[in-house]
Amino acid sequence: MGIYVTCIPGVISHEVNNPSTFECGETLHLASCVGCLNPPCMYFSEDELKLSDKRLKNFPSDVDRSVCPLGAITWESGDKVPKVVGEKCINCGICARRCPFGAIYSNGNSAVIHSGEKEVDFRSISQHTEEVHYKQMGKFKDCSHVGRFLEVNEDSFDVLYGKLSHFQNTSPQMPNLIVRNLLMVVGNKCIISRRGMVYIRIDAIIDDGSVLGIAEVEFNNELLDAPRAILDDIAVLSSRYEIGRNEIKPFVISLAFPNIRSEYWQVIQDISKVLDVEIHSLTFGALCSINWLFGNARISDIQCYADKDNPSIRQGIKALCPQCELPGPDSRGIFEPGK
Amino acid sequence: MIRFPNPVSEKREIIRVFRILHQNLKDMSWFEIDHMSAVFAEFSLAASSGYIGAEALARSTRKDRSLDPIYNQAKMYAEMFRILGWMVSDSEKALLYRFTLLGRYIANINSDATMIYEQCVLGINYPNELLSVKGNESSRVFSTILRAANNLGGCISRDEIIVAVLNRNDDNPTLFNEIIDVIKRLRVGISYLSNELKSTADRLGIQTNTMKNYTRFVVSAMKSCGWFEESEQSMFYDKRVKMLKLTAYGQNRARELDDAVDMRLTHFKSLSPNEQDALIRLGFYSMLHRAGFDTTSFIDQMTIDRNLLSTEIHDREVIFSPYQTVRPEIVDRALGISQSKNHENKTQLGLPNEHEFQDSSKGKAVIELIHNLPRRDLELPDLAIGKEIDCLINKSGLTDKQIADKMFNQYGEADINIFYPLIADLFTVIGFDCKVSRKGVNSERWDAIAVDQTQSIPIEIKSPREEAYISIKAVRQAVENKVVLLSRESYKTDWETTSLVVGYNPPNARAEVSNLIVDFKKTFRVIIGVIDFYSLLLIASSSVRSGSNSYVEKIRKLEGVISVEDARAEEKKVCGNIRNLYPRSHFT
Repeated sequence: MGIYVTCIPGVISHEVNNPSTFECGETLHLASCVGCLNPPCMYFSEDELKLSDKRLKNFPSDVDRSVCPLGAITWESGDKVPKVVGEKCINCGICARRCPFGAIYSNGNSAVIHSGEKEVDFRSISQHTEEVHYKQMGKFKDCSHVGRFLEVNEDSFDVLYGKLSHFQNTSPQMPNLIVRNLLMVVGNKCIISRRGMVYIRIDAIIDDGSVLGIAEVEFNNELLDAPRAILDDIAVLSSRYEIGRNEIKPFVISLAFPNIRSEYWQVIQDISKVLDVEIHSLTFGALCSINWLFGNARISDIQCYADKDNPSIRQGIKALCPQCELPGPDSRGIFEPGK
Repeated sequence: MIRFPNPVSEKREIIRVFRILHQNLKDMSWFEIDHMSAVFAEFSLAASSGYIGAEALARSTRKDRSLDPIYNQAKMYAEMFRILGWMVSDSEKALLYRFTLLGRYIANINSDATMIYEQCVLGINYPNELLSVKGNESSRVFSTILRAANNLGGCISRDEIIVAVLNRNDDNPTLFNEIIDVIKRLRVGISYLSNELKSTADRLGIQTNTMKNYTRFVVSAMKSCGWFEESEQSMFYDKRVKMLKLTAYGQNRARELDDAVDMRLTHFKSLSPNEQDALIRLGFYSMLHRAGFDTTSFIDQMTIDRNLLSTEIHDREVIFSPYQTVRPEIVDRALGISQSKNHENKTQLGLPNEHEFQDSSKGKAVIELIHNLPRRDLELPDLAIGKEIDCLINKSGLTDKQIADKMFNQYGEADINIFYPLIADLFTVIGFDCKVSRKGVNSERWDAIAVDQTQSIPIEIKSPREEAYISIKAVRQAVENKVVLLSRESYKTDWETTSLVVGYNPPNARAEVSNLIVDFKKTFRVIIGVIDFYSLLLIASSSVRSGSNSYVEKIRKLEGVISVEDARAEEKKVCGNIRNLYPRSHFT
């Protein structure tokens, strides 16, 4: 376990292909892995995986604490710090966002944990070093982060979606886990249902302290199922958990949007018109974009309702992340229906 | 090798025979094969020398009981019922039997016993404390077949089951993976499989055909549970091979089993006495819950038991059927049932009130239908199905139930091209103006619609090829259908009119489907009705018989899961959205 022997910075700057930096006085330091106890880049704490809404305290949630559901971060015994297995990493940037010391950057193809800088003094664990470590961790967490983990452009999406396609079917729970983790690092609490729960079919419940959201995560080609699954979720929460239907903000989170001729957009509009339920649509790529730019997306701030008449979330994402330079419409369908 | 007796392989018959036995022997605390034989003879459940009834029993009786046909049939049934956990034999006298609590559920449930039967099939596991079998395999046979098929391209053949499942252990992930590997290696060529089958038979010292006979129940149970269908496949071997192909329902079951914790006798024995009791309760109530029973009154106990076993089961679903695994007296004690110890046939099984089965009444509303409808002269629509029903009524003299039985089986393999128009025609026969949606018209989300000037009903249909049992997904689709219809107004409807789901069998997760229907109504005011094919046939037949459209308004307001109230009375009386009793398995 390492201890920083520098000052505690106020800002950590990120850029692609290079380790992050911070300044101490006139000196520029490279952010370096300290080999945290309970490393936040690898695990969420149990408390983090609890909602603040007490009405859902008994919700049967998946307690998988992994930050990387693809298992791309490993820590071999004997090593001082963990490392990223490049082939497994899809470049989502969740782990980078979790690192309080800013030690994870992207080489364009995968995350990299930078380590070995002389400013980190590795010591054996004692009560004293542990106290110092956690204190430093707390202070680093207060740093603001500027710059980017990855550029929001076609190349980045090519890597993200290209690599994800290899892992998409590794585990049925993987899409839900990765979306949970993304939603958490951009400013929310989130839990997902345990698999095999016949009676609770909600993919994810999101809570940012003021608004309660639900999400259906659809990474396969069954997006048309998602709106009706949302209605199921609202009905169950409202009827069995006594959460008012108007308190629930629903989201469909897909890999990409279907084309404009898809019934999806029309059904979303039908539901809004008849039931007065506005379902917000997000894509995995859009959420990653916000994360890559160290932006936040608290669900109370997300306004991504899109339907047949306006099937785009571009404005909604820009509102969340003004610094985002979003690429133009593409065939992938990340911010609006694919061409 | 794990060997299954095969007195009869058809699920309905297994349940029917058991119910008759239970009805006649339930007041005896213990009974013998001879008691069973007498019931078999009285109710003509078995034949001997071409005779049935008492004469058959008389002609059957031999000095050497092993040559006595009815006695032997009864013994095979007893073995089957013990495997399913419905009967147990005395720990000291193997040929002295009694019914278990699980058996009482099977015998007394007023509704379709399919789901609890399915749980019992999944509950079969070896070794256990109840059956001494040849071979020493450790296996949860049906779970392993389902999961293995799911790992092997969705198909498995009978011969693969023999060599790789019934003759191997599966009680840890490595052994399970070995089963997969063995089958993969055999799939190089059909000769490999034949050779392996032959060498297995040689090792066991039995004929290959004998070995195949031991799988009759296995194959039949897998099909009757809706997990598999017969299929010819050319992609697995170097020639076309008859295989069992997982249905969508079977795939779901396999995935659920992958996620569940499979507790066996060895696990049970490794637990403390308190934990053992907890596992018995949790396993038993979980079975009932999965089978659609309302287990609300056990929830607190289940939570306590689950917490006690948290390190063993990690909050996952538990597969453990106590009456098929450990001695019944241990199970009864854990469940709080007092059981007579003596072997005199005086006392009845003690059964605490809370163990009386409970079916959820939520999501069901009774539509009392029709006794001896006055004949009216509504013109029969010019449809083949209407004419066929009319012919069966007027020329063959069949009852509504007989007609439903006949047609239900006839369409068991129907695909959407057959089933959708059939359902639309049945609704037309009942008195609706019903039509199937045109293919490719995406805006008509429903599969058929019963058109009305103000109260049109969208109908979501699931053919037996799509799903054997109506699913929650179908209910969700019905909600969407209603929303789309209200929004796009392609036909007029209102909030009070139902949105229907029609499928082949009633939902397996019936309690949950019923709950969800209540949830949808409460939250969105959307009313959903669920009709299974058999019930629809009964109503159609009754409509043709009476020449009336008396069911139309009742169906238009249908809310909840439809079924038929009384198997015998239903010949005069058909009920919609009624109690929870399904005639095709109701044999009281």
